[in-house]
This record gives sequence, C-alpha cells and structure tokens, in this order.
Amino acid sequence: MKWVKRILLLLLPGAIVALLAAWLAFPWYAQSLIDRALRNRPFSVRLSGTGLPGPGGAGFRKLTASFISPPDQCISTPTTYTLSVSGGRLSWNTGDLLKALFTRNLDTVISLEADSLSFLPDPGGFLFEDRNARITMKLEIRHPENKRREFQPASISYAIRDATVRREKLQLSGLAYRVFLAAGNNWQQPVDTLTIAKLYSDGNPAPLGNFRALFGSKRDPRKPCTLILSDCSIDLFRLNALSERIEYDLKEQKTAFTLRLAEIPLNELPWFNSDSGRPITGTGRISGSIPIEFRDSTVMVRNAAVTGEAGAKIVYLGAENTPLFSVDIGTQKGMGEALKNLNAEITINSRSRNHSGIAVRRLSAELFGGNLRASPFRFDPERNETMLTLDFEAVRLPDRLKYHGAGTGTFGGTLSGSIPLTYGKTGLSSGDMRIASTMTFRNIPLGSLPGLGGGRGKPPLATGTVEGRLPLQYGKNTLIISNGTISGAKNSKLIFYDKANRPLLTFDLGGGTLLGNINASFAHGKGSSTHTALNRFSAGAFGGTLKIDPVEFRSDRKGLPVTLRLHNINALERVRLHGGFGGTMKGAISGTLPLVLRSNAFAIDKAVLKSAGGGTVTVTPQTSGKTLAERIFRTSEQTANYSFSAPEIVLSRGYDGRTVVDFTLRELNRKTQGGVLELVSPKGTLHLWQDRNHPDRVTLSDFRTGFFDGTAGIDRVEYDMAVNKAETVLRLEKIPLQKLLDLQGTKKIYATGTIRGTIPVRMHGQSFEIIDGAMNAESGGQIIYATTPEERASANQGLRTTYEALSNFLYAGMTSSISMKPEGKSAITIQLKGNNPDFQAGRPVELNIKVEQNLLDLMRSLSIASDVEQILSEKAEQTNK
Amino acid sequence: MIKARALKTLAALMLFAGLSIQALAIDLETARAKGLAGEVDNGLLAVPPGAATDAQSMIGTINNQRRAEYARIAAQNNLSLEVVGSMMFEKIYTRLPVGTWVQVKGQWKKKAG
Repeated sequence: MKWVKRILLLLLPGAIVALLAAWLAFPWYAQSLIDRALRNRPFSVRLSGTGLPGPGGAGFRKLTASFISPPDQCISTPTTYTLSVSGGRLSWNTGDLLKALFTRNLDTVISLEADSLSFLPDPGGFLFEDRNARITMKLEIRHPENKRREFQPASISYAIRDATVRREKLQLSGLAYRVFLAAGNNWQQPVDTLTIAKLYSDGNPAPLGNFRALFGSKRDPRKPCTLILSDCSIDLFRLNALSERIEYDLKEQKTAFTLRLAEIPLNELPWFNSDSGRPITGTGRISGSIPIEFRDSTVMVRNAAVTGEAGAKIVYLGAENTPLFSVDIGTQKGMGEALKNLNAEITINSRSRNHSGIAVRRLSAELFGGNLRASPFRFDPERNETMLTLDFEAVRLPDRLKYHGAGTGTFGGTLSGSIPLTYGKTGLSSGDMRIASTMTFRNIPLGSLPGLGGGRGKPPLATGTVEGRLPLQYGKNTLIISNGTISGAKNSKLIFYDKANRPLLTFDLGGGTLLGNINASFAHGKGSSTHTALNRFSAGAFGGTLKIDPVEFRSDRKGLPVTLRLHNINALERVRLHGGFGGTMKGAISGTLPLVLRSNAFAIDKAVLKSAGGGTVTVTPQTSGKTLAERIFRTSEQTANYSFSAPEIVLSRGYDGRTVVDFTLRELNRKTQGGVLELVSPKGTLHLWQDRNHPDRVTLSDFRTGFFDGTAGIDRVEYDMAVNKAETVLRLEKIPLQKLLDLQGTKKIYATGTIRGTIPVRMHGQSFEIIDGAMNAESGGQIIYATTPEERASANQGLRTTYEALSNFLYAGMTSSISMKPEGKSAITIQLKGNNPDFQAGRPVELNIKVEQNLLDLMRSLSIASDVEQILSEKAEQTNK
Repeated sequence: MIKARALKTLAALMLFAGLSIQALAIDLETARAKGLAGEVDNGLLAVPPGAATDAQSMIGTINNQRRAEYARIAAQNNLSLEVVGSMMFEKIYTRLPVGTWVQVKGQWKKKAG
C-alpha cells in the first residue's frame, strides 16, 4: 500500500499537469469537440477567439451557427438560418458539473451572454440584431448505467428587449418578444406579446409605430401555413388602429385584414390634447376602418374611411379657452363621412432608386365631400426625402367651419388646390401650396369679435351680425382676396356708452354692405425671420373707399404700424345719438388714420380726419329724477340744437390712452328758444385721459372761435367731469358792441364800435360765476338810446337829460367791469366818455352806468323786457370841461 | 297803422335830412359823384370798393347823424333800426343820380339809368 500511495503521489502531479494541459489547450480543441458533437447534424457551429474556460464559464470572440431548414408544405425552398454571436460568454454552474461526475441525473442551467446577436434567414432577406442578448438554457444531464452521458436541453428562454430587424431600406426598432421553447411544450413557442416600437424607412421614422400583437408558433391545423397575429394594435399617424387577427399566409405570402379606428376620443389625440398647450382641442370621437391587403411587398388600402360621431369637432380656442372656431367632423346629412374611399397602393421595401423603403405609389380619397388625390411620389436619395403633391378639389371644409361667441356664425364654400409635401428626417413639411376658395360666412356676432365683447360688467361694444363672401386665392406664399364683400345684418351697430353704461352714441352697421369690392394681398415670407405682410388692401366703404398702406407683420417689432386711408366715406349719417341727445349728421369723411397696434394696446399717430358735411345735435335736458315742481317751473333748461359743419380733427393717442385732439369746425351754432349763438371757425385742442388717476379730466387749450363778428378764445381750461368743475379766462376781441346789445333784445339801444374783454369764469356743477371781468372799447364809437317823445315827457329831469345825451352819443372811451355770482346775480358797471354833438353844443359828457340784474336769467332767456329805468341806476352826469 | 305813422315820420326826416345835410350836401354829393361814397341798403353810407378814403370822416359823421335819426324814428314807431334804415334807403335811392355807387344785399353796383 505504501508503494501504491507513493505511485499515486507520483502520478497526481502528472494528472494535474495533464488536466492543466487540457485546460490550456481548450481553445485549440474546442472547435473539434463541437465538430465531433455536431457530426451528421443539419447545422454547423464555427467558434473563434475562444478564451481559457474559468471555473464558471468560458468566453469567445465569435460564434457562427447555421441551420438549413428543408422545404416543407408552406415554404417551397430550403432556408438557411445563420446565427452570429459576438463577444459571447457561456456561464455554467461548476458545482452542478462536478456533481454530474458523481450523479446520474442532474438539471443545470447554462446561459449565454453576448455583446451582439444576429440572425439571418436566407432567403428572407432580413437581419435580426440584438445587443446585450442573454439566452438561458436548462440542461438535463443523464448518465444511464454503462452508457455515455446524455445532455438533453429542457428549455431555452430568450427575452428580446430592444432588438432591431433590418431589410434593406426598412428597419423595425424596439422589438421585444419573449422566446420560450421547452421540450415539455414540444418546442412550440407559446403565445406572447410581440411589440415593435418604430418603423424607419431610409432612416426616417415612418408614421407607423407601437405595434403590439399576440404571437405564438403553434398553427391552426386547418391552416398549417398561416402565421396568426391576434389582438393587434398599431399607431397610424398617431391614431391607434386595432385588428383582432392578422393571418399571414406563408405559402402565398399574403394577408388581408381590416384595421379599425374604434371610437377614439379626439381629446386624447396628441394634436388636440388640452395639455399640449396649443389653442386647439377636440370633442367627440372618431372611428374608422382601413381594409388592407398585402401581397408581394405591396400594401393595398381599399376604401378606407374615417368618420366622426355626431357632434365630433375640432375646436380652436380663443381667449380664456373659450371656443372661437370649430370644424365639425361628424357625419352629416348630405355630407357623409369626413374621409372616405381612401385607396392607396404602398410598396414595402421598394428597391427602386426613385422610391423610399415604404413607397406610396398612388393615393386618392374623398375628403369632406371633395376629392383628394396624390401625384406620383418621388424619392430623392441624395436628400433622403420623399416628395409628392396633394391635389384637392371642392373640399367642403368651410361648410363645416363654425364661429362661436355670443351667437354662432357659420361658414360655407369649398377648397380646391394643391399642396406639395416633403417627408424626410424632420417629418412632414409642406411646400408652395395653392388654394382657391370662395368662402362665405354669416351670422358672425359682432359682439364676439376681439375687442368688441365688453366684459367685466361692461356691455358689448357691438350688437348684430355680419355676413360676407370672400373669394380667396393662395399661392406662392401670397393670399389674395378679390372683390370680397362684408355686410351687416339689420340693427347691427357699434355702441358707445356713458359712465352709467347707457348707450350714448351708436354707429349703424346694418342694412347693407359695410365693405364692398374688398381687394387685398397678404404675403407670408420665410427669410431670416418669418413674417407676414399686407401688400395691399382696398375696399369700398359707405360710398367711399378705405385703403390700408402696405405693412409688414414682424414679431421683432414693438408695434405694428397700420395706416388707414379714408376717402369720402359716408359715416356721419350712420351716427345715432341716444339719451338726452338726438339729431342727424351727414357727410363723407376723408383722411388718414395711422395706427400702431400692440397685442393689448394701440396708438394713433396724428390721424387727420375731415368732412365737408356736418349735422345737428339736439340736447334735451333729462327730466327724470327731478321733482314735479322742478319740472313744471323749470326755466333754465331748454332744448338746445347744436349744428356744426366741416369738422376736421388731428388725433393722436398714446398706448396708455392719452389722447390729444386738434379740432376745427367751419361753424358751430347753438340754437335755443332764446336765440342763436354762433361760433365761426372754432378750433382748439382737447387733451383727454392725460392723467390715469383722473380720467374724467378734459383739458381744452388754444381755443379760438369767431364770435359775434369778433373772436373769443380760451388759452386753457381743465374740466373735471367727475365733479363738473372748471376755471378759466374767456378772452373776447373785436366784439361789436351792437351784437352784445342785440343779446339784450332791446330795440332802443344801438351802438357802433368793438370791445375787447377778459372774463374770468368759474364753473362748478350747474353754477357759473364771473369774477372781475372787464370789457373795454377797442376804439371810439356811437351809442344811441332812442326814446319816444312820450318816454322823454314822462321822465324826470335827470333821466331826460340822460336820454338826450344818449340820443346820439359819440364815445371816445368805454370801460366796463362785470361780475356774476353763481346764482346769477350780476353787477355791470359801464363808464362812457364822449359827447353828443346835438346836446349842449357837443360838450364832453361822462356817463357812469351800473346794471344789476340776474344775468343767468338773461342768458337763459336771451331776452329781457328791459326798462332803462331799471338798469340805469345812476343818472347821467354832465361834466363841463 | 305803424307803417303809415313811420312814413309820416320819414317825410319829416327827409325834411330834417335835407336841412341837416345842407351843410355837408356839397361834400356828400361831390363825394358820391366822385365815387368816394356810396349808399348802402341799410340807409347808411360806405366807401365803395377800391375808392380812396378821403370821404371816410365825412361818411362817419353823416352815418352817426343818420343812425341817431333812424333810432329815434324806430323808437317812435316801434320798429328796428334796420327796418327804418332800409326804408330810408328806398327814399334816398330815388333821389340818387345815375352812376352813383349803391350796395344792395352786399353787392356794390352803380345805379343804372
């Protein structure tokens, strides 16, 4: 035994060396081991770059396995399947292998991890690739007595997570499928979910993706040559399409199935999702069916249709996410489905240089009652883009367009034209489209148009509706409107309100054409910056014309300058006055209105508007709110008619609302029962909304007017409408004295000469006050106080003397002062110096006259039953010089 | 009734005017003949268009006198000065020589024969 031990001890190193040698030599004899194992089998394995096996596994650089499948009843030609594995590593449980030396039956697991795995059937032409593949094989090791060990695979599982399949110009990416083949299942692949994330054609993403289907290798015995995909789902242009079953005939290499778009809620589509941030949303559901036939790499779509359920619509949102426009895509009587009779022929994996991998050869459909047809598709391999032109004719999209607001407006008309489309890496883009349409619209509520809706407790600035017809042509980035018309429905009007939201002034827009013969041209340019320009706009408006100067809409501008040019527009006759105001106006307006528009404000830069017409405004005192006594006994409030002619204004407005109006009238008359106050060529400057904190303040400056053949003027007056308060100085020049006397209504006093006056006035509410006014003669003149013999006879001596002196008084100077209290009580003092050539040999005479009366009463009545004895409080005083 | 009374007064006025103008008659007639003064349809005098203003002072003086008289008549007859002046112009006009400047409704013209 001792020798035995010694021999064993001597042989042990030798055995170890032998094992070590075998270990080290493994890379050289591994291939021969494989060849020997696969001898007489229908497949071969080539192994290269084998590394030294470790205790738990062995690595290799590349393994290529090929297997030839003989022809069968389904596939008439043999198929060679080639599997390539790079950077592979086989792992096993060493403990299990050692156990296998001592046990007869053992189950163990061998796994293969690879940097890349590819699979190529030939013929078939596609290449399957998977990076970081992991395949696990369960192995049963059996060692029957007196027999060699048998290695029986029990199952193979391979979870494909993100593989790709290529076939020339096509690529399926994101392929996932769980392969599980088991001996217990007769090596049939059980049904599992196959998903493909995306399809690429020539490297460009196709509008197909998210394919899902259940697939297993077990076939229907009645259809042994049919591959069956069930519960199929695919996103087609972002629409989820379903098919219960797709059967692919391996023998005939064809399939036919119908994809169904089953009641897809529009608001769940990415284009119309309210979370997308776009002002577009959708309501209702759409559904559709797309019958598809596939054979010989060609997909035929036959009579596909997409329909919307009743009420389904795409809605364009306005301010505060309220619907502004909508396109009804629901099935309508007489209009049918939104899209139907869609027929297309699509070649999959086209090899033509002039077609992309997925080549649409022809496409036609009926869209909104019109026809849609695609020209032959052209593929540019240099740019890797597909080009086509969509021609459409009589598409009744406008018929389905609705306007929303206070009411609901409708549109009508058809669209015809063509759109060149390019599909490439950046997706779908359109080229120079050409569209022609005569669009009609009606019942568009004016109050729902931007800026006219009122809101925040304010009534709308317009009522009524407009309708019209706009022949449109779009091409070469230019939209042209030719001979369009817009009309206002009866009772349509713009409304301006007073502070209490009562209509003050309305502008009638109804009963005819607002804008006729509208001709306009808009251009949309794509240069260094995208911009839109209005190249021309002209329209007939109320008998005249309205033009807009060319303007470029550029986003980099702080404001958009728009200049309107008005010529003989008969707008005044459409002005209606309300409340305590009435009257009529007439005349054409001409001028320019330069506007600068911002998103939320506008400015006017020296607009010049003038009219040769004019009108009459009647101001009737409001009687409401007064007591019966006041209404019966009122004496001060009279209906006044103001008439004006030839108004001309120069208007400027800042973004903050500050407004300056220079105005000129040929004349302005105020007519009451008492008489007529005529202002000739009044002009001045109004300053409105200058102080944001005091919007009711109005300032009139540089006011000048012809008055009683002379002039009257106010340098500046600020009137606060909130408190009805103002204070200013009225300046009079060259006022004929006779005109002032005529105001008195007396027929007894006549005078020549003119006066100049400075009259400080203060207004507060209804009260009116004159503080130390002065009126002086500008030169000498004549004053005649004519009396009858009876008057002279009945007068006392002093008064008679005064009568005589004033019977032909030639004054050299006259000064006067005037004051009036708010209640009307006034004091007028007049000092006259002169002589009467017929009185006391024309000796110099000085007269001091003081008049005290209620001047307001006088002004209100514009007449006075004057009695000289009442107004001459001081008798004539003769002074000998 | 009022008009009849006014006409009587006008007759008296004519007499007065004849007397009062006596002192200036030559001057006024000369001025009218030379085209330096013309009669206006309000009963007053004025310088015709384009004429020298040599007679301006005389015209002012006469107009003051006429106005005073017209006013007196107007008061007596409860008429306006304008009405009296207009009536007076009608009387004056008949006595004017052919070729004298007259202004009617704002238009100057020479009295036709």
